[in-house]
Amino acid sequence: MNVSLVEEKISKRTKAIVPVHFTGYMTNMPELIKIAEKNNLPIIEDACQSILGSINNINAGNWGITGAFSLHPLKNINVWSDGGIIVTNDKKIDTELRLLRNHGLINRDSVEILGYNSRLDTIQAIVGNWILPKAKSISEERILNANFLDSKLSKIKAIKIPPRPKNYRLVYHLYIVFAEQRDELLNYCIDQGIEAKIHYPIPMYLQKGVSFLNHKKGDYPVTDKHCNEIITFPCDQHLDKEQLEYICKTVKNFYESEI
Amino acid sequence: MNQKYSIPYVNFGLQWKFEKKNLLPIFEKVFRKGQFVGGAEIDILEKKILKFTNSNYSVALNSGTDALTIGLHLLGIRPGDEVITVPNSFIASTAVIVHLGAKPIFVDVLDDQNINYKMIEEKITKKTKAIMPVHLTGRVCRMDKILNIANKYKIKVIEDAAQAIGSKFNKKFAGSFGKIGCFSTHPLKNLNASGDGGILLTNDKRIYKNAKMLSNHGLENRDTVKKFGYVSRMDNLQAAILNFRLNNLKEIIKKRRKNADLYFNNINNHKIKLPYENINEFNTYHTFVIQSEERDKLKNYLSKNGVETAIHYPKPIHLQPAAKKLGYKKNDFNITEAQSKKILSLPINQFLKKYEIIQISKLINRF
Ligand SMILES: Cc1ncc(COP(=O)(O)O)c(C=O)c1O
Ligand SMILES: Cc1ncc(COP(=O)(O)O)c(C=O)c1O
Repeated sequence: MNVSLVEEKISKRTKAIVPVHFTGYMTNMPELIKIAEKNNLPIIEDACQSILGSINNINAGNWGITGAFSLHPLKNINVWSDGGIIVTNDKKIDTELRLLRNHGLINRDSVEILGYNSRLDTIQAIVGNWILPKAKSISEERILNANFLDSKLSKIKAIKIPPRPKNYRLVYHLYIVFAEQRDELLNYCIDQGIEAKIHYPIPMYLQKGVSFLNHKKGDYPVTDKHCNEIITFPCDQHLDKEQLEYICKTVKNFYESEI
Repeated sequence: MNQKYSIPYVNFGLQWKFEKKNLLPIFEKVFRKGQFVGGAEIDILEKKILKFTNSNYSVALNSGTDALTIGLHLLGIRPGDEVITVPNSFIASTAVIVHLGAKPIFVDVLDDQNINYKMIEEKITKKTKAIMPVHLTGRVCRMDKILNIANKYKIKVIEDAAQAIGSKFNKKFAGSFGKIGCFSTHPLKNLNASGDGGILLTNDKRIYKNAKMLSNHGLENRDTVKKFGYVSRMDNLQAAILNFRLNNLKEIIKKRRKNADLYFNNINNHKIKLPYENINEFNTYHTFVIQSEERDKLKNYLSKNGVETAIHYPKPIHLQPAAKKLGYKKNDFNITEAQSKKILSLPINQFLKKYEIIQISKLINRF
């Protein structure tokens, strides 16, 4: 989120701001907090991709009134199923959330508020409890892998590495760089056995599902530009050095053979 | 609450004892493959359910509650609409209506705890978009009458069949009468997963396709979002467990019906009202609910003698704090309210021994 564009979008009807800490790379929260406080708006952090990410040593999910983490199988910390966690520092919200996730039941027979069936299964909680102590080391390994990829890929002229601010802890749920001839590179990598991907090829605002919002192509030019340039490479904790080298070598080969 | 009962209401310990040998390899198979969201087990389950219920399409979901939500959503229920249902259900069947911005219009129930079809017509207005009968206790509502009314007024029917998988009325399965039928596979249900789960049934291909899509964020494919959706998918692991248990569901239902027969044959206390089964019904006894003027005393008496019972449900929905805004008050639904003070669910699970049911019956007779 380009935080400097937020204020002009605030109207009388604005009720909340939902920054998305995309790819494990947090939104500029120090600046966003200022705007939120000035306008008296709560922040709901979508930290689904950014567990253990931080800015100035303050973790994702701790900046807003609530923070949401996804525990989906593809996330850094996952429970082998759909699942999620909300964190908050507000006791009242905590109490209400506990009601809401279980049909609003304060005990077996009394429904305080109408709620949802949004409980985490016990099996999933067991997996979560087992994996959580490893969370730190998982993110550290991903950071090491990303740093390695950065160091090699940055030497290729056709690849642009996103900024890596020193006061951010980037946890690399996704390792994304910007690439020239992206589509050809993507196909080449896939041909060479690398599961490269695009997150995401169609921006949210151009999806059929939001056509009622009447956006048109070009409304978000930076997003559009990114869509054409982004490529995601594997970066997870299970990769070994050789595999990482292979990714870098393959990308290098692609551009060298192109000339 | 922590009392140790000699006859508990449910018995997961025994279920595990009987199933462990079969379930452990199933867990391993799913975990080894690492396919947790979506997957082959889901497809198999959806097919098996069709065979079991004699329907055309099914979608495996996150919970019975979400099946109802997605079902109502796909019937076009929007803010301001009205949905006719009952106040003596599990809270979820009302909550899903409210969350879509619609208004639940309650109708009182019959002697059999199911919707009083004779009172439906007077509640129909221009805003009525759907009727949601609840097949409480595993006994199907009078679907012939309900469908007649729905057809006459061109209103859709969505069945809350959460408690009624395998139940029949006029030889037709619960969940297959309306435009949509919803099952729950919550651990306490006759067909139970090891976590939350649910299934949506329909004979309408469009509803099927849209339900699949809505349950998966509205994604048409990995990258294209067609409609705003939900994340309401069933886990592949739960589907694998259900695929195994579905093989035994007929046996489970048979056993529960046998248990009911044992109660019918052994309880002869004329102060106790027993449930009954009409000739065109096939009840699966998710619960076996008796009625007594001295319900609380009876519950206590059974409890003191080691028998755990339950009440489904002691506080009608229209009298819950959460329902205040709906504007109903005490005495609005006399039968529901009267029943809520008399009903008592006896243990009926498939793991009970014959002598245990006879023992419970004797205690009731003595009381
Ligand atoms: C940014 C973001 N928000 C929300 C979600 C939704 O999380 P879940 O898949 O656990 O429902 C995800 C992950 O899928 C995500 O990446
Ligand atoms: C009548 C009824 N409706 C809806 C539900 C909701 O199902 P679930 O618990 O799977 O969300 C249940 C079960 O809990 C139920 O008994």
